[in-house]
This record gives sequence, C-alpha cells and structure tokens, in this order.
Amino acid sequence: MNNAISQTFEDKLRAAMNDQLPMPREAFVAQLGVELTHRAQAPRSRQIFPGLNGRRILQWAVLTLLILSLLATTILGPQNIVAAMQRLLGYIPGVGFVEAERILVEPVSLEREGIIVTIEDLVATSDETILILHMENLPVEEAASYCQELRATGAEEVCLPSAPSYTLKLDEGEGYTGDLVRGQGYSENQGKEWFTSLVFPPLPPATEQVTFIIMDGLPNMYQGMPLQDWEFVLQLQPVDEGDQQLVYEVEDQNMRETILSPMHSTTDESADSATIAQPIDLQEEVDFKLSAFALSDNLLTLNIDILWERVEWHSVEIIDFLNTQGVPKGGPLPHHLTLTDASGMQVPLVLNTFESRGTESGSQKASFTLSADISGLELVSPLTLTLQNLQVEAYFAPEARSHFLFTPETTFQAGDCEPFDHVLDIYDYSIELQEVCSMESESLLLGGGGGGGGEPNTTPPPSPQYGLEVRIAAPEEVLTIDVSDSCTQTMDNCAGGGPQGRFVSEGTLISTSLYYEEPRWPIDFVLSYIHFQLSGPWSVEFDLP
Amino acid sequence: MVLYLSYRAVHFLSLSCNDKEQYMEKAIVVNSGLENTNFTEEELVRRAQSDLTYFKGLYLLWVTRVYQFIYARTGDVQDAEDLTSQTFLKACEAFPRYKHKGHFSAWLFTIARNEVNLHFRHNSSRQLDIEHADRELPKIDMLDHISTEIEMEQLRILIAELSEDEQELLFLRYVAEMKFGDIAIVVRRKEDTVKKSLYRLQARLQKAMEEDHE
Repeated sequence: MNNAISQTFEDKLRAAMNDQLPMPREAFVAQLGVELTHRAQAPRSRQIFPGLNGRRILQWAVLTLLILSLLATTILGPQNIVAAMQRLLGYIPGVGFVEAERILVEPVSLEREGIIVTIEDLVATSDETILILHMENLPVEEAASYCQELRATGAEEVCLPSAPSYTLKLDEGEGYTGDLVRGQGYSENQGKEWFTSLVFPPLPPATEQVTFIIMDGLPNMYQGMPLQDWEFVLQLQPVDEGDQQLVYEVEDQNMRETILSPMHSTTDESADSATIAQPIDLQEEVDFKLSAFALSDNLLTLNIDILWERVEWHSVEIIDFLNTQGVPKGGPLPHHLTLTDASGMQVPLVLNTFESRGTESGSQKASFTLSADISGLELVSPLTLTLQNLQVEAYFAPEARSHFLFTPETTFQAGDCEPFDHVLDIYDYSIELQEVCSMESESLLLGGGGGGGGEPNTTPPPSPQYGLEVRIAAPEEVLTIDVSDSCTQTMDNCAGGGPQGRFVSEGTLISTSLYYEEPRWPIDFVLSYIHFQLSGPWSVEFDLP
Repeated sequence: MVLYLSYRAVHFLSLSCNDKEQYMEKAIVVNSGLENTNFTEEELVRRAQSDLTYFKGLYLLWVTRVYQFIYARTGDVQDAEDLTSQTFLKACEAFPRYKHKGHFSAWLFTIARNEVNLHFRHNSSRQLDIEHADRELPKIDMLDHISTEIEMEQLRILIAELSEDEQELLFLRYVAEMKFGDIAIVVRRKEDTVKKSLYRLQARLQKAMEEDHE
C-alpha cells in the first residue's frame, strides 16, 4: 500500500486504468491468428497502376487537381471565383481538396437572441460528409455570470461545460453523429466565435436534403443555459461531373522543383554527461517541391504543394506563425510568399486557408492556396513567386534524440540556476544548453504556448509544484526547442513536458518540465523537438495565360 | 500453428505492464509455420511488406493493447473481440498499401479507433458514459478495500466523468502505452497539443483527487 501511495500520479493513473481491463481470451487470440494467417496466404490482387509508386501517383493526383482548379477558375469568371471553384471541386478549408459529389446550395444561417450559427458549407463525398460550422456572438459573458450565480447558490457542481452533440439527419429519419476529429473546433474573438469542421459518414447517393441538429448546448457555454438545441434544413446540389472532367493543358514551365541545399551537423564532443545521438543532418536528398499556377485574367489562384522526405518533419509552414496573433478571423494571414511581375510590381497575395495551418501532421505534405486580385493591373510576364522562408516542426525519433543528464551540485532551491554547458548542432544551428533553473509554483515562468513568441505567461499551473527550466541560446531562426525530462520508466517522476518557446522579454529559448513532486536526480533531459525557420528564397517563374 | 500462437499469446498476456514493454522489443513470429525467429517491430514491418505472413508477428505484438483499448471504450467483451477482429483483418488487408514511416502503432490504432467510432454510430449509443461507467465499475466496499484501492476507484470514477475525447487520450497513453507522437497521428493533432492536453488532464484529475481528500 505504501508503495502505491508513493507512486507518482501518473503511475496511479496508469494503474487505475489498467487494473480492471481484461486480457483477451486465449482462444480468441488463437482463432484470430489463424484467420489472419489464411488472409495473409491468400493471393493478392494486382496493382492498379503497375510502375507507378505512391509518390508518383500522389504527384499525378496533385497535378490533376491543379489542372482542374485552373480550368474551373477560368470558366467561372472573376466574381467570388476562388470560393466557387473551391466549393465546386470540394475544397474544404483546413482540410484540402476532396472529390465532392454533392455540396450545399448556399450557406445557411440561423440567428437566435443575437447568436448566429452558420453552416458555411457541406461537402458530401463517397467516403464521408464534411460540414463547416461557424458560430458568432456566443454569449460568453452571460455564461460566466450564469456560472457565478450557480456558485452563489452553492450549486457549483451544476456549472458544467456544455458538451454539444452534432447530428445529421436524413428525411427518412436515419441520423449520423458528427465526429470532431478533423478540424478540432477552435475559438476566436475571446471565445465569442467558434469554428469547426465536422465529419459524418457518407450520405446515400442523390440525397437532396438533410437536417443538421445541434443538441445539448453550444461550445463555450454551460449546461442548462438557454438555446440548447438548434436545427437547420440543408439543401444539397450535385456537383456537375462534366465540369470536373474538362481538360486544360498546363505548360511544364509553370512548375519548378527546388532542392534544399544540404545543411551541416556536428556533435558536441566535450560534454561528459551527454549522449549525443547520431548527427542529425540533411546530407541525403531532400525532396522538396514547390508548384505555382496562374489562373484567369482577373484573378490569380496559386496552389502551393510542398512534399518532403524527412520523416521527422511533422509540419512545414509558409505562414509567419509567430505573427498570426491578433489577426482577426477573415483577416489576411501573414505569410512568406511574394509575387512580382517582370517590371518589379508586387501583387498582394491573400492566403485562402481557413485555419492558419496547412499541414496534416505526419503526412509529409503541406498544401496552401493563395489568391490575388489582378483586375486592372498591367502585369508583365513572367511572374515570379518567391517563398522567403519556411517554418518547420521536427520531432525526432527516440533513437535520434540526444540525452543530457543533470544533477545539481548544490541544494537546488526555487530560483536557483546551474550551468548546463552543452553545445550541439542540429541541422545548421548551434544550440547551447546554457543552464537549468529550478522553480516552484509562483516562480514558474511559463511561455505563451505552441510556437513560442509573445510575452511570457506568468500564470502558474494549477497543480504541479515544481518545475525545471532549461535555458537555451540558439540562433533566431530557431523558434522552439523541447529539451525536457524524458520521463522513462526508471525515472518516472515527471508530470510531462511543459511550455517551450522564445520569450521576447527574455531573448532566449526556454524549455520547461513540470513535476507534481520534487524532482529526483539525475534528470534525463532529452531533445526531442525543434521548430525552426529555413531561409530561402525559393522562386518559381511562370507566364500568365 | 494454433498451439504455437496460443502459447505466445498466453506468454505475452501473462506479462506485467513493464514486462510487456520489454517484450514488445522482441516479437516472435512464425516463419512458414516451422521456424521461430526474434524480430523487432521494425524488422517485422519490413519483412511483412514483402511477405504478409509476418503480419502475424505484428498481430501478436499488438493484439492485447488493441483489445484493451477497445474494451476500455466499449466496456463489453463481445464488442471488444468483434472490433479487435475487424481491426486486424482490415489492417492485414490494407497492409500492402501501408507506407512505413516508423508509426505502425499509430496506423493500427487509427484503424481501431475508426472501428470503435463506426460501432458507436451504428449502434446509436454513446461511449461508456457516466451511467454506464457507474454500472461497470465495482462498488466500493469500505470494509474490504484498503485506501489505495479506494483512491483507484475514485480516480476511475473521475476518468469516467471526462469527455470521450479526453478519455480516449488517456486510453491511448496509458492503456495502449503509445508515444505522444503516435497519439498525435491517431487523433490528428499536433504532438505538442497532445502533450499539453494530457498534462492538463492529469493536472485536473490530480487536483480533483486532492480536493476529494480534503
């Protein structure tokens, strides 16, 4: 019993979740094993496209979509052409292109007591149905006072966040529950706005009308508040296959490939207590492609596809993510692309993505669409699209991570710092782990969260009492580094990593590990993540049609 | 063949949680039903991509965790067996198209997760909600249970009161024993977001436990 009590909370959590889980029946495991053996030995069907590997097929698919995009925009004319083209082709903001079979005829809004809920779009494919939802004027102040009143009456436990359920109902009564997996709703405007994309199962073919139902409240609200249930009748229209199948030739010179130059890496030979992983370098070829296409006389739509081979690169951004704070919804997102014509005139580009991020983690591909209003401009070909910078998030596999053991030489009190003195190069950046500092509750200096940047958030976390901060010097291109406790089984005394980031006021990178108990030494710090900015420029030249 | 598979499965299932971790490093697979060879997961994936019979090794490696993950979400043995079967049969079918980038478990649990979600959609029932959880969890007998067990029980109840998404994160981390990066792929979020979400969840749970004690 004593042992159990002395375990970390994480251990308790693990034990509580596993103790009552049954093991699978032996007979079941054996039977399924036999079934799998039969399946494995059954003859396989032939490859559909012999000679084409996955990457090649993907390239053709991307190229095809781009051609279709080009054509659709040319046909539809200048007014709202981007949105129309995207909807026609099943472009889902924040998701990408899908093969749409049916789409929403027009956005549907409902206003009740000032709250506006809009179904921005619905795209039905053969695999799934995606609905884009936007809520405005959510009464967050009323929600706060609603809770305060409950607390005043001693009914605090009733003050529970609402858990809205989303259902898509067919006319004959069948209903589908929405899945928030894709899109992960997010708030803007101090919680008053809410955006999300919901994923439902595919609709039956030729469905012309569905009813979308929100029950059990709205996001950022509390259970029991008024206006719990909402209902929308949505009219769908088929996507004309004829439009999608038209062919338009895109000349080869409109697409260029750019190869990143290799970067160098070295390891620190002097650090006694460090285990530097194999050099993290980019000596191998990096398959990095950038494509740009010009469209119509009045509007230019550019589709940027970036593919990379580095498995540890989880996302690649063209957005200046550090400067996105404070950009209102619908406002132009800062990005690293410029477009100039042969005379040197710069054409403003607007990023069309719904969310600031264009990468799906782990996909090794990022897609972005941009547009520019070129009506009235006398552009001189060729146009040059230039990508100034890329921001890359890299997570290293366990075997590629460097370890640094740390034991303080003296009693480590809150506010104390001790030198760490490890220097290593990652990619082309010299990273210096300067010192480790100890903190307790109020003295914890917590960063502004993902991506770093901004002013430090000095609000202490609710529960952990201890924190260790690794202070790191790195070139300004390095935006975030995670050097935190590895939390292995043998040193399972951490509560997980804490915030990392570059703080304006500090001028240095900070990586935090938070603990529920006073940390036990030595601590095994592991470098697992780096967010950095690659400097270009990379350019693509193309002629207007 | 059946006897062999049963033996491996029983051996694996009899291991403790930590032992399982070590065991996972050295999976054993039957090659052509005659020879036994030790392989890591990486090696199994590589071999299975040219010879699908090696998929059995991956199956043995993960069947318990997948089963327990599904059971944790459904709370029903029959459902857990059905959905575990569906998961591995689909994985076996899709494996020739799987492109290995070091995230086999993430790929496998994505299939498992989809199976569970489809199951709930088709059955129009919620995942192990609070009422259900209350029924599933054994009642506390103050006379027979020591304080740690009571604490565990309180923790289980608190977990049962979490949202489905939050519970799923905990299941993937502490039942499936997945890495943050793999969880991020399964739930389609950033690794950093997953880390922070789990951290906040733990903090909330611990705070609730501390308040209960007070």
